[in-house]
Amino acid sequence: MTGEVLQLRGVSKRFGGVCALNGIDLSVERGEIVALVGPNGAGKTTLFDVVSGLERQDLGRVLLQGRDVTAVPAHKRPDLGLARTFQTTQSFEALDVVENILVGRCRLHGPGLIRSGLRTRRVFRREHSDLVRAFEILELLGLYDKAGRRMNQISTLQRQLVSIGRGLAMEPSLLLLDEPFGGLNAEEASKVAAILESLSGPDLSLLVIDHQVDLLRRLADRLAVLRHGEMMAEGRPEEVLAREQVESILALGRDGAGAG
Amino acid sequence: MVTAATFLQLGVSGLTSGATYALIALGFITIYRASNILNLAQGDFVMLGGMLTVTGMSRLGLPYPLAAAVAVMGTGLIGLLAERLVIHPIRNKPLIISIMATIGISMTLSGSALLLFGTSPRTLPPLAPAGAVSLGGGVSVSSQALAVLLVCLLLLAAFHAFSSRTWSGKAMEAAATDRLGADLVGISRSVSRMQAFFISAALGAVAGVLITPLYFMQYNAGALLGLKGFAAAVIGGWGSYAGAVLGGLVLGVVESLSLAVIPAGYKDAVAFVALLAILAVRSKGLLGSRALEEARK
Amino acid sequence: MRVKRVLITRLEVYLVILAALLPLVVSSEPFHHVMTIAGLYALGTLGLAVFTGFAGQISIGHSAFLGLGAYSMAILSGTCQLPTLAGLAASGLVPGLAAWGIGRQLLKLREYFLALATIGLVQIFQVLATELEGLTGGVEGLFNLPWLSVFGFQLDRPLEQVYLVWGVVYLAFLFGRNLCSSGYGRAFQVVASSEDTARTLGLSPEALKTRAFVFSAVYAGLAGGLYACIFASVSPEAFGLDMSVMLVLMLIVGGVGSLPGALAGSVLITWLDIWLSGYQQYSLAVFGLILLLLLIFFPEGIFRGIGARWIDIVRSYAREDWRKELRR
Repeated sequence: MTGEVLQLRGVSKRFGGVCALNGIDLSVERGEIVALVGPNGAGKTTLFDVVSGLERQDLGRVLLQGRDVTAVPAHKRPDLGLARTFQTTQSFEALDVVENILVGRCRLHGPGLIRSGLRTRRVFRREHSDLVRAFEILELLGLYDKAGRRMNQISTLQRQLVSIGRGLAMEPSLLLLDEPFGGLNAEEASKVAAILESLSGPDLSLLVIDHQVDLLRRLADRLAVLRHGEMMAEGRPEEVLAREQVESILALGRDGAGAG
Repeated sequence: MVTAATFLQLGVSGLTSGATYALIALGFITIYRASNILNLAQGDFVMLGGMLTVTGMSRLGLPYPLAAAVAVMGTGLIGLLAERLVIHPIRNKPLIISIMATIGISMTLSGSALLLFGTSPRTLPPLAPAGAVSLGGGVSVSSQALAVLLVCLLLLAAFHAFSSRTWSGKAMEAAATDRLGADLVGISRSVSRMQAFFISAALGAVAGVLITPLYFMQYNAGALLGLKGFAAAVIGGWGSYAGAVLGGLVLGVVESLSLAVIPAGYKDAVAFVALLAILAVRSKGLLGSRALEEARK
Repeated sequence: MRVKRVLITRLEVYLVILAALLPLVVSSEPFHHVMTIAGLYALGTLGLAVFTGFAGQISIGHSAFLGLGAYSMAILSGTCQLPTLAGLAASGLVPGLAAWGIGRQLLKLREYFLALATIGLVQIFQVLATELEGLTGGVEGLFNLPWLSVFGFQLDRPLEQVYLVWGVVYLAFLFGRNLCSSGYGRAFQVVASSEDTARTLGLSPEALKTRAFVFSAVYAGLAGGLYACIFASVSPEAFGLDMSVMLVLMLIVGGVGSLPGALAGSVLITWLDIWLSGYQQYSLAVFGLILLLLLIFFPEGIFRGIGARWIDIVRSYAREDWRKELRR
């Protein structure tokens, strides 16, 4: 029980006639990097949606930090240390890079409307500390010289990093990454993988969805394979990937995999 | 004070106005399905239908039916023009632009109506000879009301036939539901949109011709009528033609019945209150529609 | 990169001083009066700029809040003879409360549906204002309202009024800008962009949209309260759709996401309106055409609102020594 930041128990979700998730059991321990792979349509993003609260499961339970969050609305889950990114990098085009990161800090019990309007000392100090933290994150991700650029002026790799940066700005204990290597070539992807590896630790666990299995094999502590909403295999990457079944599933997946 | 007969009587007259609301609602839905735009100028098409008929008769000396036909066609063409000149150029711009564009069309239309027809309310002679049909129990329906209902029902049937049986009708449907698919098959979204505007404008105009003998028409009556048509469409279940019809009738009856319990001046607010009520209680509308749910994302 | 404690720039100070001298230089009373009207609209448009420009919600119903504010002032200070400052406070509070009451439900609607519902708001307001005759004076409204008096000083001349209104406008502008440059403003923009993303960031779109709504209603209400003091009368007809549409038009002209744009747009359109009022009958159609032309050819407005934001973190490319910079 202790040390599990995320637990899914028997989670099922249907959409109309389609069973997106069927009796999923999955857990992420503190400090772990867990990878979630499978062909398109396997239910991976749905799983993220259920964990983050954008969808509600039909059956089963979701526990964050040991607490059942089924009844917790999506916008309260970050208070429990949850952050996630999206497949199509949801960046706010009107804001520049540093502002995109700052967006991740909006929630952290900020000053209210009136105080913000009056720009009190508290507000100013908040802005300042948020900016410092945003820059720390940018430096960590190697983006500090792009801070003032607009989102459409940076590369795909940088956009992915901004997405991750925004998640980090939320000071999560569990970060869900939906295809962080999407649209990246091998070299770029391994840069991102290296960053992810350096980020994870006792304070931050990662659950990663992607198709680049080779990278995930090296990065992840555990690997789970999803297909048609069912958990086909789960365990140490080498072990899981050695299974024939899994080989064939992933081969299919690799052929069908694209930028999401 | 309020007897059952009064209630029934109100209900029946409510059906009449409800039928016209149904037509306005259909106009809304048609454009929406073809282009995902909500035409806030819809009510002004209604207004034009009535006003142009009046003008046709008084200034051009046309006989009633001909004036009405000309007005309907003319309004349809105006709708078409609006689509080509305004909607088409802004088709890819953000939402607030298209909302304001339909408002701009509305302002231009009602502003032009102000210039051409002045501020005084106009009316038309009744469609049917005077007289009433008694339904028993002290309730009677004026033949005018019956005529209105009849025309509406005919139009609705015709409309249904058009959209489900003819090629262009089905094309419009397709363009609405699956854009890419429609493009691939060679259905031009642009053409569908043009058609939709023409049809909606014409439908609205017919509603106008039917309403004007009952309630008078003024250059700025469009906004309120549009609102009622919209409320009707939501009440019945946004996005479905059957819903538009049902919603219109229900709204008409409810509005009419409300006269029994609240002062007449509040009548126009009833539609909005009903709209809010439905949205609060069952936003799918009476017949159920996913459109609003999806719009909630 | 630096965070500024006070967002007012030197240029702005010069501009404000110039603007403050303007009414003394151009001393014609009609000019003052028109600028006062422009100021009233500017206040309403500012609120709308936050609601529509930042939080991304459409409203064509804000004239209802203006009207609520105006009538609150009229009833409290006129009929009930309370001090005008109390009336002014009420003119902000009453619409704010109303917005808070209906906001939650209303803002569940999106896009077109919201727009139409806000149109309905205007209808309801006008109906209520007409029907509750005892309170509101019915169709004719209320007359002979008192001038605004501050510490016994009555503001009955256009010169005084224009300073009052634009003083309030500028304060409102500062407040709004502070708000929009802070985390709050970013939160609004996130909600406008994608509600689901907002939720995953820990923001409640419902709460934020409602707050933006209340904010804009308070601004509009204050504008209405001042309206009542300046025109000394209120009537249902004045606060109809025409006014609402004009507010949105002003917003678009200035640039949807821009606060200074709201001010500029208000001034421009007010002058246009005054100019056209000579041709009373033509004004509606001409406005409609101008709106259409704007939308087709110039939708971004003067300050290029759509896509631009008046966020005042000093824009510069960060340098290696950013730590040193920020520690100051």
